[in-house]
Amino acid sequence: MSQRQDSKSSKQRSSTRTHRSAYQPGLTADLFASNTSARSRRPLKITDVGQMHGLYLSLLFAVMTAFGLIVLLSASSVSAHYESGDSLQLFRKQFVWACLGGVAFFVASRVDYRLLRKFVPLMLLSSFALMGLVLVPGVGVNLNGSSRWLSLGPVVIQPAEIGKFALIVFIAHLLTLRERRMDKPELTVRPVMLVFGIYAVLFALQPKLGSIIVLGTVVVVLLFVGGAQLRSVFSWVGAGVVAFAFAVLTSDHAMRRIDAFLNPMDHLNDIAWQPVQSQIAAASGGITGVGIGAGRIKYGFLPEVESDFIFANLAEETGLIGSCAVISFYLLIAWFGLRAAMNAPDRFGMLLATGLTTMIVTQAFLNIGVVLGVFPVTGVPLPFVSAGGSSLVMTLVAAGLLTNVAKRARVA
Amino acid sequence: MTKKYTHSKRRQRFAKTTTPKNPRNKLIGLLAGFIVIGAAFMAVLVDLQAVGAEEFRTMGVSQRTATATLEPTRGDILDSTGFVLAASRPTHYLIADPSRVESKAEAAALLAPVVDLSIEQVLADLTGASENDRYELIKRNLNDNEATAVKELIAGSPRILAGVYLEEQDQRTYPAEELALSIVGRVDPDSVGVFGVESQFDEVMRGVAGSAEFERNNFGGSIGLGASQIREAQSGFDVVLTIDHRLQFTTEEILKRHCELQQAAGVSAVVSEPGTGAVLAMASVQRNDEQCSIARYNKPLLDSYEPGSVLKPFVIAAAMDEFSYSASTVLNLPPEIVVGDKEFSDHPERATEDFTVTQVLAKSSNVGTISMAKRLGAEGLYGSLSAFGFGSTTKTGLGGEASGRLRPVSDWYGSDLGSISIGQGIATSLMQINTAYATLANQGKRVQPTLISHLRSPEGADLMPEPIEAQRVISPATAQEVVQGLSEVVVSGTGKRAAVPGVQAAGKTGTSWKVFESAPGKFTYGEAGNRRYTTTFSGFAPASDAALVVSVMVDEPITTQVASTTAAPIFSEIMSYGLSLRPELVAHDFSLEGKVRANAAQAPDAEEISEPDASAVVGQNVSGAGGN
Repeated sequence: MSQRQDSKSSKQRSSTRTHRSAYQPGLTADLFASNTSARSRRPLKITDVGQMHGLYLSLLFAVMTAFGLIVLLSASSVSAHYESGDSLQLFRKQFVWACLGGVAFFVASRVDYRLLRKFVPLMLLSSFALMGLVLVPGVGVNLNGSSRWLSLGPVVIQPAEIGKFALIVFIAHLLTLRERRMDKPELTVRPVMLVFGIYAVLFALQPKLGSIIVLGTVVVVLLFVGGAQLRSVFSWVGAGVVAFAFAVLTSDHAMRRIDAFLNPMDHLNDIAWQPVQSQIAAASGGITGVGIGAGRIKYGFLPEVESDFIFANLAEETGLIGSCAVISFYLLIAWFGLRAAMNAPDRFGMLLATGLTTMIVTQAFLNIGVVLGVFPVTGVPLPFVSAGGSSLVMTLVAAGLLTNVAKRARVA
Repeated sequence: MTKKYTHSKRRQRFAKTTTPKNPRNKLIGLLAGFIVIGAAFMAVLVDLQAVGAEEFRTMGVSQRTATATLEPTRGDILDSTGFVLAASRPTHYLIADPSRVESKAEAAALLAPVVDLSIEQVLADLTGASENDRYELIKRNLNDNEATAVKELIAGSPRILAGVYLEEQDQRTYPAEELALSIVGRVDPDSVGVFGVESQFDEVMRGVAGSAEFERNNFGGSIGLGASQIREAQSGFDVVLTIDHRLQFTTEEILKRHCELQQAAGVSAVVSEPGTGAVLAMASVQRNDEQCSIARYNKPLLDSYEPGSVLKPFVIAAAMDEFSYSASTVLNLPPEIVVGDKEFSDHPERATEDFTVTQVLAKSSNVGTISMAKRLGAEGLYGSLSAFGFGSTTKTGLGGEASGRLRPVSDWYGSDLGSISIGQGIATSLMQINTAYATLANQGKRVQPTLISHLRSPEGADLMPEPIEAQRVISPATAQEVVQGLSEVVVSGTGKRAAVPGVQAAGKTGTSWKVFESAPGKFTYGEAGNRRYTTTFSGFAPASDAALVVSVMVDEPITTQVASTTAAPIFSEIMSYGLSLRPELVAHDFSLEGKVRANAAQAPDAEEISEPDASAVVGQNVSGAGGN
């Protein structure tokens, strides 16, 4: 009896094995298989605990989005007034994007998140294509020396934002597929690093170094949490850091920022202008802030105060209380997001939640660190707050998926 | 066995494919990492926003604190009747901040047609002098249409015209245009007085600039909700002149007409009130490019020349005062009189005759005047001419005044005593002559002449000048006797053409050779046939109780060249109009009406012309006789 069972199981296993040895040289064959596993067809139940956590997360995201809109209205009104004569111009756009993002959030939080796994190759390839298009002169929109945008009629989108999302889904999918092969770096760490490498090159060309740092962090965290061989991860990270350092050292754009970071007083009137102005803003806010709308830094002193430097306006207007509250909000997102990951019903959900949470929080902290003068200027938006439709919508999609995973929590 | 081996080998392989451990601890570690970073940020924020906020906060305050100068409103210049001669009214300047204009060519193309400038000019301003250039003046004093059009443009294309704005500035305007030009003066484009009252009273009229400290934004404007501290500007004082614009205008018109009529190089006139010393009109017309127009140069005040016989009344008045002559005192006068190395005679030549003092004046006798001067002596002559104000400025209130030239006695030589007594070898300004005649008209008391009535504070309070006490120069009785003689000049002497209908006028003619530059560096009176003349008539009316003193000087008249036909008629015209303005000042004196009319109808007598000693030329040119 036991023998038979043994032989049955061994037969099963051996068939699995032959299957594996068949795709091993190809590396990506399993990724393209439409029928990933029998387990994924089993519906994931929405549990009571999950429902509650999902609600917490939804509330957090709603509050952040609403608060972000208010801060954006305040931060953008002055420059919008001077540039277009309409103080509400940027706010109106952002509001429309927020509504779209709300719909996206709703959808993303309800549909079975495992559906994403079927679109991994499509998502990956289309984001490569879009990010490639951005670099084509005449197609991509070039602003301030950076080609980050694609113009689709009246809307301008940033493919990198979609790309980041696609990469996280891809890694989560891959590490789920190869759950049992985590000890084989050539099957896990290497393909992840290769895809990330393509991203890094595409981002470096835009240039968008901040996103490389955020994504790099996400990749390492996912590999780490996914149980990849740490030795291999570290050697890749080492190689990556060398490559990144090389890219930075050979890029005037990046070197000037590093230099400005190290010697801000030598660059007060050019590249260190923004960090110094940000600190002026934060310091002017004091403990209680000057009041929402009453900030001064947005009056032309801090370029991009409505996007990458919006935290400065927030710190000035809401003071230490407001800025610490916002940091606490991101920590709450980290808390509930990682909790969702812990209680995720499957490995894909766990990795997805980990990746998305890490992306949102890392990006927020990188942004805040830049504003505080702790990091060199990197140019990443503050999730939920900074102006930018692509960023807001994709953040809300990520938020929706996070809620989605949270709702389906195993009862712990 | 083999099977078992295989099995164990398989087991070994399967043992290798491990399921990853539950990531719970890793996730907790990750969360802890986030919390540590978040806490670190909060610590940085506490330092930045609470503990060490001061340094950055101060930087912020200083970078957005701006101080603007609030320009005061410049005071007006008014005449004695309240008529505005100069005023400031707000106007717009078109300004660009080149650092903020991005599409310069587009902006220039929009602006240029509206403000009537070429696109290149506007583009140059929009480009700016350097990269840091933040202020370029595109156009001053936009008219109302231009200002409105620019405002509409900026509202219509705020993006292209970002950095272009209008600035309010005061523009100086002169409603009466060239009226009293040389007195009122003008300002330069920056509203700084250049000459005339505008220059003299620049500081008083300019006022005190205020300042506004406010929070500026970085777009070239201010932060509306920001704090501001304003110190209001203090407007300048108004300057009220003694000028009467009606008399000034008419005088200028008369001068222009006569300048053309007599083909003169220039005509000047001063009208004053003997009792108060107020100058009611002071005008100078100069020939420029074959046309006589109002001069910027205040010739009556700033220029001195050899006056000729108009000086005689003062010599005679001094002698009468000194030796108690009366108008009817008879002097036996030889045909000629010798002073030093020169022989002076009368015109026309005559035998020895008896002249009353009045006749000496009426006939402008050189011999009579010089004989009296000789009796006075050099010191006496110098003293009395000084007392009448010759040789020193009249201090009417405008700067740069000519003091003329009355040399001290120690510098007199040869025939100077004689020459000076008949108005040669001495230089005076027309204003000095006017004041001296006013002294005669005012019963021998010299009243301080003035062009500036008072200052008016922005609040409307009048600041009167310290009154200067009148100085007695000759006794009232003497003055009356001299006036009688001067009346006779108009009734029967060289000044018949100066007669004023309905009123007895009194005055004196004077014609003198003018020193001119015949060749570079060579100053000369010219030869017979190419002489140049300066003719003067100064007098007042009514003779018995003068209301106005009018002094006229014609520079190089061509059609006729003596004062009786050139300056005298101008005097008559100005005086007629002047008296018509002030009927209340005219004491009725119609007793001589018929006689005056009869005389005025007569043809003028041949008039004497002062012929100065040619040897005196060297000394003369220094005295600056004549003007150009």
